[in-house]
Amino acid sequence: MAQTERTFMAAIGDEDSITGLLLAGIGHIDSHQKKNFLVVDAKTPLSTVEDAFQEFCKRKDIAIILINQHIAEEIRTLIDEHDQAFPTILEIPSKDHPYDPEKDSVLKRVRRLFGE
Amino acid sequence: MGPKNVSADCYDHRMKALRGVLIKDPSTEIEIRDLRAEEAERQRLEDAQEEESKSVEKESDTHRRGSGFDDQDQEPSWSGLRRRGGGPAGSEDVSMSASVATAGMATSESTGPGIDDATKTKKKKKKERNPDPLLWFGVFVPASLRGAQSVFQQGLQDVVEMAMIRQRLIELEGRMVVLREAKAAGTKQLEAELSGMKLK
Repeated sequence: MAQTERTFMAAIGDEDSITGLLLAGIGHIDSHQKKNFLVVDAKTPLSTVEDAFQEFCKRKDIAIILINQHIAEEIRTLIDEHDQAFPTILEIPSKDHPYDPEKDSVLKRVRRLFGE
Repeated sequence: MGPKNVSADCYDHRMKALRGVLIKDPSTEIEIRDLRAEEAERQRLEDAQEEESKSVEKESDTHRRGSGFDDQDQEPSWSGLRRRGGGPAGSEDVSMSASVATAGMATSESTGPGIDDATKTKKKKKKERNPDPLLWFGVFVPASLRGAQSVFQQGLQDVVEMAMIRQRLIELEGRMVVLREAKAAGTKQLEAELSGMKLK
């Protein structure tokens, strides 16, 4: 089934990652003043990150969610539970935390499948 | 100059995404969309349609006025002459040069029926805001920031490719599970048949 209404890319990341992604032009604020991005720093409560992730998953206009891997680790349970095709969740590295394929949810599932 | 990072001071409720994605069937094909160009094209088409409908209206107005000269009851149009009080030309006619000379005494009655409709309905072109997020950092931004923007824009292509690969992985994972279950069921059936043959 075509998901033509899913247009936007959401992002949850640190300040530098979000700055870069907004420069690329993915930032959007809709008519309800809802943003499609969240800047996470040391003071951001975990509940805020969880709420933002769940809200992005529920929205029908978001196709891809980009999330720094070190932030994804904090909400790993929620990410592992996400089994919908869209929005697609992509774990991306940040300036201070390089990408580790061992931690990626999708690759873990595939390795588990081959390891059975 | 300008902020070092993006904060809530840089953007407002008018921020719209410049780039998005298009998910095609069978949901493993994703491509980047230029939302800004699409919006501009849509606006251009709307403006063209509006212009066309206005020109059709003007033509029908012209036809109606043309028939009005033959009708004795209707007043003829006095376009092209400015007058005071809105009366017919020749009675209180004020020529254009005289009105310029008496500019200091110009009244507010210059919008008589002589003024062209095109002047009244002249569209004021809205000055469009440049939506480029690079401008949040000031007018003169360092070359490294411009480079960073282009790198992130190119990175969006990689993001879309990764999303397609991820979708493909999930699809193949589902197929593998089904095939494994079919294999397990087939193996059991074969074992049952073989054990049945041995007994015979």
